[in-house]
Amino acid sequence: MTIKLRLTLALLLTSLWLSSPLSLAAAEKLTRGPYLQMPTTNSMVIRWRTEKERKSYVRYGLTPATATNLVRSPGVFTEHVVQLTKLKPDTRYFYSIGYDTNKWITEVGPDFSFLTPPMPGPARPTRIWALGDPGTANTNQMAVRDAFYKWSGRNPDLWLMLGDNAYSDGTDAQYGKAVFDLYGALHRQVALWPTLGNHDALSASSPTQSGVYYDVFTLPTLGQSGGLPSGTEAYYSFDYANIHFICLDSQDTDRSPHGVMATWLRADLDSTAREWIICFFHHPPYSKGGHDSDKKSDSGGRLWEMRENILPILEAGGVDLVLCGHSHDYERTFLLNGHYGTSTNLTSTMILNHGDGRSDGNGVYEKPAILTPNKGAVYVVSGSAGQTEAGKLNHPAMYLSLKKLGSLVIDIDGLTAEVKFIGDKGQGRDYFTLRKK
Amino acid sequence: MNFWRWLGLLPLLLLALPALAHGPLHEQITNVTAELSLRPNDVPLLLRRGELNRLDERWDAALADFQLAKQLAPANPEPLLGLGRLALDQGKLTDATASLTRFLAIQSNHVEGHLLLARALVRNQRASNAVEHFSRALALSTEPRPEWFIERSQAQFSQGDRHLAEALAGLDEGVAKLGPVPTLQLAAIALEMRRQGFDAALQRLDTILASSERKERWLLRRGEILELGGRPGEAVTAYNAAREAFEALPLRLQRSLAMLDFRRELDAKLAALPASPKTLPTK
Repeated sequence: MTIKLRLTLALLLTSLWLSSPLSLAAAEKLTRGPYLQMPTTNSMVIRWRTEKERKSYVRYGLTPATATNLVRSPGVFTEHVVQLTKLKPDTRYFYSIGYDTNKWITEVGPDFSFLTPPMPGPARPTRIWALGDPGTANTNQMAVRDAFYKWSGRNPDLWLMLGDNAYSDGTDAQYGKAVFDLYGALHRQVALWPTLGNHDALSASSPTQSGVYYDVFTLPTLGQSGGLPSGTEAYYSFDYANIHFICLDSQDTDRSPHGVMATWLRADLDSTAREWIICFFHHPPYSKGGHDSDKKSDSGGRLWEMRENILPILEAGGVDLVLCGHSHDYERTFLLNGHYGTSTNLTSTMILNHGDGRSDGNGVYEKPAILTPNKGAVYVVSGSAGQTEAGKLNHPAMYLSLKKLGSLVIDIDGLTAEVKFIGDKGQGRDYFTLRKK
Repeated sequence: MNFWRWLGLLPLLLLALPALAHGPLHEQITNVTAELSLRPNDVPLLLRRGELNRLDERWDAALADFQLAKQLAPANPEPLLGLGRLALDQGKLTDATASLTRFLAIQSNHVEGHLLLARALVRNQRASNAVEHFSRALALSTEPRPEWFIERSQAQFSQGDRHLAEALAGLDEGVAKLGPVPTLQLAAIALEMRRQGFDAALQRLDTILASSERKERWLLRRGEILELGGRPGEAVTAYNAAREAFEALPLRLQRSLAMLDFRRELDAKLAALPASPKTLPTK
């Protein structure tokens, strides 16, 4: 082969290599994402981070072959935020991110696709995955993650983080490891809904709505995903099918009964017509784990105040499930109502069902299908997605308390919610059913 | 490190032991304390421990950390912010005001500094000065929270009715920045009612109605405002609209205890007004 021919061939191969999407992926260093945020029935936010300042392009479509709709955010950034709009509800879209019309960082394919939420109202089977205090970025967190993936066999429809998402200080680097790298594949397909924990608050401030937590997440302030506008990312609500989700900030926002968050919560509960109401925040109203909800001094009174001030509003609004973390264990109550004092003040009448809540045990927890205030809620502390810690684990409102690693899975189908605590080896460590009839 | 230096650390470790059993905050204080034992004059570490001690309500320990940090780095404004936060938490309003004023003299564009000073001034009955600092924080922040607008309007209104218009304008600034947030509009409606601005209150209520999937409670509120405004005919129309909204709800919502109370309340209001159906039809 002559030198000229060799050179021509080398040039041809080089140009082919440079024009392929895969080569561009290698050429441009993606340092975070892509990850999905703030899904609505007709829009989705896609975020990613690049090493160098680049333009932000997304192409998308109903199939990989037709992913030709182009969206560009003006400007040049390392932190990219692009919102796709005019999407159809309950529809799968395939997407690719890039930095020019012919420079794509990711391939279009099933790994980079998402399903828009269904229209709010009608029921549909929904799987929710909730991780409390996951952010250790260690083998515990990985084991809990992998156990869920294996057990579930499919992506959840929604996933929640119950605070302390990245240890120990919620820094950007810690978020990178414990939140974005560890669940990278899931982030590309399902949007994460987080709440602020005390460790996240070491690098973020709700009072000024600034810092890492607020920088890395795009959360609804105007009721974009359902619910009433809160005007802040610190607390918000959203709908998915027949479920209304409420995220509260138990860490850094005024928890008084007539504070702005409580006022918004009342109005939001008054405005929802969904069949299920699930609320999540970091500090548990009931716990005898690493934290003691009987101690007013514990965590600056946050557990106490959420119980005393916020629970009456939630229960009057018909809440069904309250999910928290903070204590690194698993604790879940009986079907409970009206317990706003310390554990010594728990009376038998506050426990609406003294059973295990299991269909193969002494019966599922039943509530009226009519959205009725004060007909009981189950409170779950699921704060062991990254570590466990010692505690008395003897709160009398709890049906079960475990010092075990794991995460929570909620399957809602119509008027039935099946809740399971899945251990780090896929063990079903607890389960119960809430049924509305 | 030789044996005697390790031995010197022993009391520190013994002091820290109970803390290990008390969760992440204590654990972090212990960790920072261990680092400080190696670098006792490290100002960022002192500030960090001071803040952790403040969060843990160990006031004396926090004060000692911030004061030492200030002594070691007199040109650094951060200890002043820490001292300001600490004094405010303790209700030492004069101290808080002094520290935060000195902090802002150096860092005049610090959002949290202005907010903290405004809160100290409100609690110290200096609402007029507080308003200035709330306004400064709001102007500086790219992502202000609804709470700040409400706090400022309360500070304005606390100075008397002559500040009502100002307080309302401040809330409207919030709506313009954040969108139709019900908590801002509810605060504005309360102020409008105080100055008998019934039409303005109704307009504000309409923005909440527009964003709310369920309308019945807001329509009831509309009727109440109209009644208070001396417009009973329109109030009846609003109550009837509330009834229609109620009847359009799925049965599972209509039959809830809260909705049964709502229906009784609506019945009573309609019954008290002329030319209106006495009760709602029973489903």
